[in-house]
Amino acid sequence: MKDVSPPHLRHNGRRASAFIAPALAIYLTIIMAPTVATVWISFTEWRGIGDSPEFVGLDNYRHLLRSDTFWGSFNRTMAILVAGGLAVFFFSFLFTMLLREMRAKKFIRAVLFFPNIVPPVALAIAWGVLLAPRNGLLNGFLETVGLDFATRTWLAPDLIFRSVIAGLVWIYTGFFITIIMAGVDRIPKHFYEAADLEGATPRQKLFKVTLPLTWDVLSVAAVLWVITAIKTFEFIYAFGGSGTDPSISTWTLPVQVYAVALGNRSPIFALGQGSAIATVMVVLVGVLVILIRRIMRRKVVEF
Amino acid sequence: MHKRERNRSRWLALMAALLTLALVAAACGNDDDQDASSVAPATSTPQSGDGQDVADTADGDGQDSTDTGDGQDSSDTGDGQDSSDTTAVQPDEEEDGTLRYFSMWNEGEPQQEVLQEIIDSYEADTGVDVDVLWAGREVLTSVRAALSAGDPVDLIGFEAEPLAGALVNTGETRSLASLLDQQIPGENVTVGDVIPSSFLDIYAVGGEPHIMPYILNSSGIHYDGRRLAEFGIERPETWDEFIAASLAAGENAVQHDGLINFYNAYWLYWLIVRHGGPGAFNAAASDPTGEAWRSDAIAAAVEDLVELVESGVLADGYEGSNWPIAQQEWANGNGTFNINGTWLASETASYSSEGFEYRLLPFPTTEGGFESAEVYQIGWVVPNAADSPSAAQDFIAYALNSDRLAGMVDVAKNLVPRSDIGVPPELQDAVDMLASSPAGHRPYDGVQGDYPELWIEFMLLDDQLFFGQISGAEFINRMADKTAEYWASQ
Amino acid sequence: MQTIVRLSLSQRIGRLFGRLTGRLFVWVWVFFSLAMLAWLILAAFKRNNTVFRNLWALPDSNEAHNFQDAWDLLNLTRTTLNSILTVGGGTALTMAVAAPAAYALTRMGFRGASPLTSLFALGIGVPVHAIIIPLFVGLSEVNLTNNLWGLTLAYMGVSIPFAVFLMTGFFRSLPSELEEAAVMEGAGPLRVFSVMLPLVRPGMVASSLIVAVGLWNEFLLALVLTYDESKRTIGVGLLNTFGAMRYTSNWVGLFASVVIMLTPLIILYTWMSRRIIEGLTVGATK
Repeated sequence: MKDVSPPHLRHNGRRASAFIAPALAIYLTIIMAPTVATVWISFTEWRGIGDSPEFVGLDNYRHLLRSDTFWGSFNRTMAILVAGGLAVFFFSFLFTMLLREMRAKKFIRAVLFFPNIVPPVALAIAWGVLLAPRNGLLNGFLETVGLDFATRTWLAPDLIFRSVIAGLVWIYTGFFITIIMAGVDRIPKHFYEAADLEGATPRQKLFKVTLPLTWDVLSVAAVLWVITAIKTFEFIYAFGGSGTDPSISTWTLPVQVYAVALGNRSPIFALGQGSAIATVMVVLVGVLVILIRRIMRRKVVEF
Repeated sequence: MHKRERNRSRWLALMAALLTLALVAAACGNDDDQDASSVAPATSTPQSGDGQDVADTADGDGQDSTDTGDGQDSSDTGDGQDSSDTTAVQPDEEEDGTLRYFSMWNEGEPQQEVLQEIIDSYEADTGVDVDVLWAGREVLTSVRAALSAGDPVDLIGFEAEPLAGALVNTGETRSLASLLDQQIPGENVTVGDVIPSSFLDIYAVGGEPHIMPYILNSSGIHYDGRRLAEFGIERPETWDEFIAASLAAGENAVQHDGLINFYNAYWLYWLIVRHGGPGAFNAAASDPTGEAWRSDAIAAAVEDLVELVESGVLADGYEGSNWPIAQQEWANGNGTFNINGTWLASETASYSSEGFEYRLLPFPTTEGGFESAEVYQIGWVVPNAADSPSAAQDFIAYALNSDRLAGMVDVAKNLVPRSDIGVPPELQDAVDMLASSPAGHRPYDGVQGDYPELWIEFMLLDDQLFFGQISGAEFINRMADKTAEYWASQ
Repeated sequence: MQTIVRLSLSQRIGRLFGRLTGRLFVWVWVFFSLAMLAWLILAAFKRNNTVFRNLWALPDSNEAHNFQDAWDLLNLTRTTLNSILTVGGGTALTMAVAAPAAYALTRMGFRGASPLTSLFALGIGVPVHAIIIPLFVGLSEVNLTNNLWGLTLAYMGVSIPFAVFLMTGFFRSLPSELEEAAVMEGAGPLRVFSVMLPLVRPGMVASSLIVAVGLWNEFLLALVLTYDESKRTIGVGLLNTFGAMRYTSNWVGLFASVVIMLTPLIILYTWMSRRIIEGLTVGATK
């Protein structure tokens, strides 16, 4: 990290700590301490206040390894991360390229971004209505326009999670478009003019100009996606839920944390087990972020 | 100078570490003195898996339910004078006159409206302020949050099974034994006189009741009486007849909301209880070796379920139907049968097609199988942590008054555990079923309440079987493994 | 321009076709989003027993009482107020502590600055589900659950890492002349900070927006840390309404609730969507 402070200010350690202390104290209390505590609780069996935690070592983790429910949640989380991520980034790039030349750019971007400020519960309700089996909007639409053969039971076990991912892609593409578009807009025009002069095809422009010059923005966006994907909760919880628990075939890691530790229709209050899953999430984020930074560190182009 | 700075950052790091530790310590709470006793019974929780027990208790139910049937004739005797002497209830002097009540109902549900009326008149009669939270079905999450924070929780109303699993079996609720001798305001009877002990015994701890029911449900297969007549189908009694009737009942014969795991579980749980008798499902779940899953009864049950799935009678898209869509279609005349709790009439009454004739089929019998009825209670518990336990008991006694509880029957279209209040016409079949059944059992044979973790794994596998993703043999093998693993980790 | 001249006709047609397909796709996506919204709004005026029967029918009667029912259940005034208090308070307080911290980390040059900055950045990657269990237990212990202050505190905690991280970027890019001038005049660190703060105004706006949008969509903390009706935020309130409406199969009432809840959002958004989006992107690409 570059130290840009003027030399005559360099004895400000004590004063600096007064500036930092409030933020640091709250941060450590609300984020760091609970993170450590989560790891600790994951080695215990504990039902919460009023119960005394019993140390069980790695039992909770052993239990997870054997649990179909856990592996289901884990795989679905990874599916959101990978499949959802590919789709989100593909569409974001495509839209960025297409929107560059469209007059209604601002309007379209505003429409696409809108789901990001709507409470996810409302989005989940809309998505559920869209995909309902017999009387949903999508099947209804397909039948109306004569595409009966394309109707599906969108929420059937083999499709439901793809439907969920599609919903997430619909929501988050708008967000990542804005980020990637901002990165692309920073690229000076003359790069493209030069490319045009040399007769570059759109594909060449994408790989020779746009991608390398937005690499740092993409790297940030990729990290943001990892975090977003792994903590996907609200949409799924409200999609299947309220009054009934979300169907187990839609659980992701955070949904399972909530279901086993915090609440449910018939709650278990297994805080140790919930914490073990939470720990897996932290490790997952950590590993993936490091990996992304490693992979994407190369070829940052200054301009 | 630099050294000093280093000290600063070290100091910061130390502060961070200390804060972390303090928080961990606080979070993990050394409350041994606070509530240690409440944990102890958890280990000695009665594993109510003994089929015999369940059957025995339920035998009683059969009797009581018979009474229910009779009692309905005389339901409106002696009601007129109640309201005059309700003032008999007095709030305890030492309590602060507030009752904190956590309820499972959502605002706008008919049961909520009935309870709200009871609460209003209770407040008017006694001067006690009832502070009610309409929390919805995740009420226990709210309860846990309130209890953890030390906020008052005087009364909780919810389904008996999760109450048992989450609070009663872990020793966090009070005995309601003294409530039995309490007089019901406005009537010349005690609580114990009108609430059959067979209901109370199911969830009793050390012989003392902890859950006081105010609604009685069951489950079975619902249909519109006119529709069966239209199709010219005889009311099926056995499983084979049921399949045949479904095949004859045209499109979407069996409507089902497949995204609700515990609705899917109805089929297999009932089939196991029919083939193996009440307690068979619980016994399989509580067998530490898991071998009980390989019994003939369960094999037969699984075979029947596969037959149902393969027969094609389940409505198109049942596996992707998000509740309450299928039951809504069913109530609107698209579909013939729907397996559900007896609350279905209450849930669908506001929109069912005109002239809908609510009928209930007891779950079909199997050859050489067992007859038994599900006894699904919704009731109140008073937690140990209650500030005003006696006010909570007073309220329960007050609400169980036949006039007031009648709202649950007339408005909310539910059955109630008091046999001297009528039954809603929609549920006449349910009453007959309960009355004629030689035995009874808990919802899901108690597996949901007794082994909530195993229950989740069961629902997952059951879904796969019910959606035709795995074979019956695979289901049995994996369930046996799951059960053995579950018990090995306990 | 010259490039196009060099292209063959078939290439030009191919490109035109590709561009048209692309544009069509964009408009389909936009139309899909708007159509869904429009359908929900129309459906809110329909009747329960017909809403799914005739998906595309216009409302045949004005079922305005749907909105009355929804309004009664939604308790929108209360939940909106709670959301505004916690999101607004959380955002303001976050910025109040994050800005000085970011300033000190970048411009007050002390040895721990670099590792401390990394420590804050670490927090960005901690999913809130990973801390919710001890956070719930810990806040219960100090009576800060079911309490808007407790929720605000939690909101601050989860927002601080990103806010600090962003603000360090903005502070770092400032030139040091102004700072030096202020120091020459004998200003103390607080005074220097107040001179520097207006220079990062765009950063403050961007960070506040990101924090506020994030908290506005926050759901889990509100769900777990509060339980009382009077403490519910908009998202949790809507979830409860959803539950109630499903039990009574009151779909149109549910749609009416969604519409009621979206209306102020849509108005606010048409008014300042550009600022929100630009604020967000400044932050993300900083």
